[in-house]
Amino acid sequence: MELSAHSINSKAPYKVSQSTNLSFTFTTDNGNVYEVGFLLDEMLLPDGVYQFFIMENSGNPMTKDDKIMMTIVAIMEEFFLNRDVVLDYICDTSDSKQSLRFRLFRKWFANYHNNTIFTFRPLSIEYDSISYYGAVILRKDHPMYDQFMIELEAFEHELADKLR
Amino acid sequence: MIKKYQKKSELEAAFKKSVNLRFVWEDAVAKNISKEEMNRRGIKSVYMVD
Repeated sequence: MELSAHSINSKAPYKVSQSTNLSFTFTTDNGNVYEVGFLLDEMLLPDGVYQFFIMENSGNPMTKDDKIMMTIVAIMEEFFLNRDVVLDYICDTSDSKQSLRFRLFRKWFANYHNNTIFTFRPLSIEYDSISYYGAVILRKDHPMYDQFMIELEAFEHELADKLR
Repeated sequence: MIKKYQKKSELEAAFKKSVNLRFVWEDAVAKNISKEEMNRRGIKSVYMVD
């Protein structure tokens, strides 16, 4: 899989630069630097599931800026041009703010799409005394949609049972 | 379709690998990891853009 900065830049308010074939960086008006990207995650399937990452690495204070969301949306739209892919997202737990991060991500996603195109399936798991929050997102016209959703439900139970 | 893990240890290893992908990704975008190291860790989906 490969994503194109050229295509993203035709829609995004901030100009993105490509870091790797699946990662992009952009700088906001107030100097915040964001890295956004994807990496193949083989936990659920051998291929076709990518984990989504977002990181702000300038250390500047965050400010409300709708252009950040619009840029991330443009990157996600490029990712989901392919209807066969699945996105998963696991909130960073390093500062114990994963539940806050998850609520923000869910709100962003709810603002961005309507339920006719995508399914946003939240997931949570307790492991080693840490609460992990995440989600799986896929297009409703994914060729294996029904089977995937049924098996995901079973997988979630298996995770909860075996990692308890 | 979705992978089946027979043993708890296999599922645990897959879960840990998934959770730790963040660090691989951060290393990749910071170019702190060589292609050889990525191959060694079984990361097939990323290459550096100059």
